[in-house]
Amino acid sequence: MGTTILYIGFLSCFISAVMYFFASRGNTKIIGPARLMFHVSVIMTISSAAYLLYLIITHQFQYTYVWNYSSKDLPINLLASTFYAGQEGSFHLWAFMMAILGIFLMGYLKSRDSDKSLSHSTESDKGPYEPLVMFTFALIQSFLLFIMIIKSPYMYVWESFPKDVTIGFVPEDGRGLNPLLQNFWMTIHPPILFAGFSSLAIPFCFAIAALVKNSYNRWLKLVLPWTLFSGMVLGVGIMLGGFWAYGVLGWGGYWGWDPVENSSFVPWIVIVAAIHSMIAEEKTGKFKKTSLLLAITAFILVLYSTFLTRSGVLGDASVHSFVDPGQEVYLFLIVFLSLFGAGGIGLILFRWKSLGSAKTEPADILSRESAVFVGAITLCATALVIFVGTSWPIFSKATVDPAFYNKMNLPLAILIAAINGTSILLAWKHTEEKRFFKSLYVPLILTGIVTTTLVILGIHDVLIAIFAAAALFALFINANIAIKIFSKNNLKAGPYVAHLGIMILFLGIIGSSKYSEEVNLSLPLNETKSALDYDLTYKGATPFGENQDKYHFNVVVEKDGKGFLLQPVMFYSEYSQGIMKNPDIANLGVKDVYLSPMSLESPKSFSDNDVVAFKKGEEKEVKGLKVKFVDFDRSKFSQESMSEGKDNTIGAEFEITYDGKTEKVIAEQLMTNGNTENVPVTLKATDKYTFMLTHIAIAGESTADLAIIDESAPSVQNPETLVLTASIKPFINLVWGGTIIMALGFFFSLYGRAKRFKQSQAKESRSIAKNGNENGNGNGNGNGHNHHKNGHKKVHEEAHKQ
Amino acid sequence: MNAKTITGILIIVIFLVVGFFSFSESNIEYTNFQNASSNHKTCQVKGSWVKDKEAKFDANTNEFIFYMKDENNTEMKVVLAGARPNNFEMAESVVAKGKMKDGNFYAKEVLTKCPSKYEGKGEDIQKSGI
Repeated sequence: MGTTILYIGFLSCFISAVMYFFASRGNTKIIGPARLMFHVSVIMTISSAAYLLYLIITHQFQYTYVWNYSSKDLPINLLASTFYAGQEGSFHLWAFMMAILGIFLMGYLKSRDSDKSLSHSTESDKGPYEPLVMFTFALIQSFLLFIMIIKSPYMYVWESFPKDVTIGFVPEDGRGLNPLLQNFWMTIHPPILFAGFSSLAIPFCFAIAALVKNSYNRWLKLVLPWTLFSGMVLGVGIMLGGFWAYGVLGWGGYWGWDPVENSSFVPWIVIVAAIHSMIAEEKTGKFKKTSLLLAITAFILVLYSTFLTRSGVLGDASVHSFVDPGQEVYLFLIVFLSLFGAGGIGLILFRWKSLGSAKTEPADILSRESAVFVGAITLCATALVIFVGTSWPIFSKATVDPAFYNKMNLPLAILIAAINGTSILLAWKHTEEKRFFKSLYVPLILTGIVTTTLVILGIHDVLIAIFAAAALFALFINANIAIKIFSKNNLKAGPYVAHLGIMILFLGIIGSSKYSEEVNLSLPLNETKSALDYDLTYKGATPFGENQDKYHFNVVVEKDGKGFLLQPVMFYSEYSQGIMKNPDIANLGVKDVYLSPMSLESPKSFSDNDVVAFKKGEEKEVKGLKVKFVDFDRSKFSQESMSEGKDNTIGAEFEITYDGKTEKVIAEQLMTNGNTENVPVTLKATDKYTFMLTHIAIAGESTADLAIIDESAPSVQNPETLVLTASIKPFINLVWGGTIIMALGFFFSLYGRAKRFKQSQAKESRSIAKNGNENGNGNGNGNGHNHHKNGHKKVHEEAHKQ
Repeated sequence: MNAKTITGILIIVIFLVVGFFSFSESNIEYTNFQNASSNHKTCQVKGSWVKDKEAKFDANTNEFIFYMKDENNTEMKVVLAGARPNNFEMAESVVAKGKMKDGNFYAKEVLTKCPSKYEGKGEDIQKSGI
């Protein structure tokens, strides 16, 4: 049934795309059926998602996907998140998000295209946008649905494993969900990330529509809210991933320059650059090509990143497990990528001449648009650095050291902060020089004071100090304007709030990465060790969890008599067949104390001094005992179970004389699963000594090492030791806070735009009612534009006044 | 060409040159122990753990020491700054990142490649029968 739904969804989507195509060529009658077909495909996509979720929740393990990623013991919220635990499901999540966005996009286009108040002022912009935008959108969605058909989540286990199981076979339980994914952050990170990924298709579709129409007035106004939406959602999605890496994965950081992270970060940087270019274009009419190129590139990068992370090409370069999806998907991803890539770039090249023909006067260097443009280019440079570094393993037998990204991006980040601060003091089109330089005084003085303080307090790296200064400079300027606007209860503060957030994030990055201190520690049980100004004591482990099979490792962290308990976690996971480790973090406001467990070294009840080596037949006197190694004892040993990898025991026979009496002692080694366990034995006569066979060599000269432990001697025992990495992350809260503030800034911009649009619409319709069909607005951009510009001017005057 | 274009091109050229140098410095190649011994650059070596030699964690130095065989079967003592890597015992291959010094390979990082558990295999499905 699922497969049928997918086929109908794919076909209706494809038909919708074809119909929209003809609608765009002038056949307006076909637009109704095109909408209908798109709706059918949306309903099918949502139904398929619901059906897959139903299969997961009802444990239909005859489906390979359900068997592969879920199991009966998972609670309902984690069951739901197994939906996107594998490739098939994450493509489905993507298609699902596209379907939801598609409904909103269609409604948006319908209302904007039929909007009289807008269309009368944009008569020059040949015809409606819906057909072309929806054509491209439906085409992309068709590709996604097609991928789901060739890599279907509805495969039965007997189709996936025809050699192993017969038709109709139903596994009793599933394989379960990777324990690393079993937490709250992993239930919300992928949906938000994929919503961001999906939304990046929309600026692409608008750019294609504008290029095909060869008309560039209206697309910008239409696309900007969607571009802002993409920037916000993708940004939040990426940072949630960072939060997961920090809090669950125990990377010790939120960012590791891993290919998977990079490949969603690069499109984000490009779409942020696009936002800037678009806003500059909106104000001044310049940077047309840049806006189009960036909108198209961002989506191509989404496809490229899908290819990088889904095709298995990075297999050796990342700690992530990349699954080879099979030849068909690999080839299809290449077709997907090259088709849309060539289409987008080709269209721009095709229109290059006509795009350039509308000559605009060159921008004044001291103008906001110049600054914004240079800023956008700098953003693209960072994107390029990360892009090249991430793609490198494809072209050579090498990977790039993560230090490369830090080294290259630091100067670029300095530029970005400095340009941002400056640009905000500049006016659009033309800035009065005197005013501009005057407005620099206060922020520069403030920056000087705070930076000097920071240098005295401990920033001794020149570049880092400059970075901090640039971020502070921009922070003061943005904060000043944001506060002024807010005091008037105006939603225009969006951009300033977003930049404020970024600058706070930059400061947080400086603190938490450059000034993070880290040390590897071995903590023997109940023994206090000092590190990083704290006293740490390992107090033993306590089991927890449903089956009591996970362990909290209790570490008391103390400083100046005040202490707190941190409980990093380790447990054996049947699923991964390995030890899972989760860090524990104390958030102390200005810094985090971060404990990442590494291993627990088991107690060794003897020291190296207790071990004595014997040759066969040799007799030695040790600790008042006479000990003779007689021979190996193979009575419990079997070659068969050895070769089958089963448990096996080998012993060594000793004659030990204590207090004049000689006893035969057999010390044994138990071998299980490649681990060797030494079985302790004692004499019949006394418990004073314990013997353990620690090493044997059977081939060649037969030797046996015996640990002889005198229990009455002062203990030199090694207690169990917890090995962990302890680190201090100063100002990490600025990273999270900055990100949240940035997202809020995006939201204010989006909300403010929507509100202004409604106001201008209301105004227009009133003025139309008054003036009839008189051409009310000559500049072709609607009333909202002027309103907006004035708003900025006002802010500027205020900024200059102070 | 006006001054703006020239400045722009100049900046791009500087950026590319700096990028190139920093890149060639950060380029960590896959190689074997023999090549790693001759040049003392940071590199990564793929190979497998020699199971019959000792593999132990030294709590005093916080180092994990094991022996590794590269793809040419050259054996080398690897000193990892840190604890026993994840899934070390069951890894089918390991990748050590670091450099040679005094006849030992000092690793900053050791990645373990495990038999993919991400997707089930035929033998797994047989086990989950009723």
